[in-house]
Amino acid sequence: MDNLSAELKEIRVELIDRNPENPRILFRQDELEELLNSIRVYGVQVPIAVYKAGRRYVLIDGERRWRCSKKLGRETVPALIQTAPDPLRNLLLMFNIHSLREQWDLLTIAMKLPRVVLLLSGELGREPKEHDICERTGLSRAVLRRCKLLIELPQQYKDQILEELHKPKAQQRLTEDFFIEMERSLKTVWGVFPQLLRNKDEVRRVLIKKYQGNVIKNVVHFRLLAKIARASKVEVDESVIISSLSEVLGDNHVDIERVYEERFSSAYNERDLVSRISTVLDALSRLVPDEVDDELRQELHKLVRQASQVLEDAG
Amino acid sequence: MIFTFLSPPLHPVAELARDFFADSWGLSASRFRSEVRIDQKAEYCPTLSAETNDNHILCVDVSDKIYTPSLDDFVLQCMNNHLPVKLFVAVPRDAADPDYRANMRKLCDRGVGLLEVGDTGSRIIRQPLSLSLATLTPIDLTKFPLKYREDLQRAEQLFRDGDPVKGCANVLDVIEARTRALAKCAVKKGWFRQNPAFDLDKHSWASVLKFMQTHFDQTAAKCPALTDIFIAQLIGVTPHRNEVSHPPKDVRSRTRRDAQLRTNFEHAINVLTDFVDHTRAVRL
Repeated sequence: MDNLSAELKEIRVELIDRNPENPRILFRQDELEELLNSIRVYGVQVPIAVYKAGRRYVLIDGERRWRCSKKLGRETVPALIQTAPDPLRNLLLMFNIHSLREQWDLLTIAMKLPRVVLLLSGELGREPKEHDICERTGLSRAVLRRCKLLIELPQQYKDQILEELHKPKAQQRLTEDFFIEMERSLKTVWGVFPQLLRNKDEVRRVLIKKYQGNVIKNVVHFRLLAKIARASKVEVDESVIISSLSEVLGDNHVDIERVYEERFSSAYNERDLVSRISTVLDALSRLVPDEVDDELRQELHKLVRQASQVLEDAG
Repeated sequence: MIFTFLSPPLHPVAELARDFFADSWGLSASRFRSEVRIDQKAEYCPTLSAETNDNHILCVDVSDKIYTPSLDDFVLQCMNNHLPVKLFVAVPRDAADPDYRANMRKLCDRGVGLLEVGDTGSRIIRQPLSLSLATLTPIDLTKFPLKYREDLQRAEQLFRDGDPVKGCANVLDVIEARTRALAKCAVKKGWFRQNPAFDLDKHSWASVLKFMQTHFDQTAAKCPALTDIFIAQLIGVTPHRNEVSHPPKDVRSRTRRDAQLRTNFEHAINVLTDFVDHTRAVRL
């Protein structure tokens, strides 16, 4: 980014326009009011960044500061005037500037990604791959994949998320995280038992209702739903898996966590234990006798005693 | 309407607030402007503003809290510059302000009104004061005899509530009553070097004071501070007694008028305070 020609000056607030490529379209009232009060007392401490477009200026960075300055009736605001970027650079600039800041609203970023793909395709002469997009936007692969999950949601859910995002963060319930976790788990269920998701929208409606009604108490419980769907790997009978999933995805008061704990957790715990025992055995096989000190000897004796007791109790 | 600062979930609240005032205050919706400065001397841009039919400036700031600190400077600028602003905060009916009590107190202290807005209707929870009149220095009633306190309190209230002419007139009524009483007492006790040849109750107040200025013996009355110079100050307030309340023809006229009336009111109170002080030796 070439900032060598940037000029710092006070420019008239009324001559500034927002950047149409700014992914950030949501400005929560409580956050704006907090910034408003700060600017009222201390002024704009960090200049905004703009580029010249004819007689006017377009924001690169500092839309919230600009909005607050307007609200406070300030005539001018300190600004760094930079060279006008081309459309792709303008868009990527938005992403890169904001990727260094506080937690984004993922959906608003996701909504800009198709445009990034379009412009990047033009530049690269091919469909950009994940690493192209990540490299140019500054997004991590994990964030990019989360964005993709959101953008693939039906419009009604995207609208629902947008509505929720206007609320102060502490009051948000049907968050982006909720939908991401839910979609991930449904993808897993779909991959194994597609017949259970013939009406995906109905299933979503039920899960949302259960979450809002506190039957599903935490968004991370959707990960247990995925584990239930994959439980054949821990030798749980398919009929048990299907009946459990049907119950959990049904319009009732059945909670994912309870079903998992009652019918699947022991199988997974056993697998985890077997895996850890394997790791210990492997480590023991590589142990040299000289390395066995008093502490290790004590723990090994404890292990032998404990294992013997378990085997005796198990008959 | 286009809003730069107000977040979209509150846009319907702003529109409902505008419709409420359009209906109840008889203002056309087109009169309302969004997020603009109302005057060069007041920097803040309230969500909505409009000139009213009686030449006030109605300002409505939409929020989900009943008071925000950013209003402080705006209120102060309006007060200091005698801007005839009636400021409302408009909140959605279901808004939950965690600092309700403290914010309500600030609202009241600063003379700001509160409008509660809902889909089924809006209502005014608290009327605002005109900020041009709200900075009146409160009267220290302890400096006055008991029998005048109710009248003075009423005068102050009238002024703040939007009838500054009547408020001023009420203060002048008290001064007039007290000076006429002193004149009658002076006749009884022989404190005039020459008795008046007119009825002290019916003759014009200014004439009574002019007579006192020439003939009152402050030594005999044991009121040494009641000099002819001080009585000239009393004569100076008499023209305001008969001021008629012509409605100002525009906002600028109202601003000038309110500033003048505030000066008149506070000056009258100061003169009355001195008069009470100077005549302490006399039981009126």
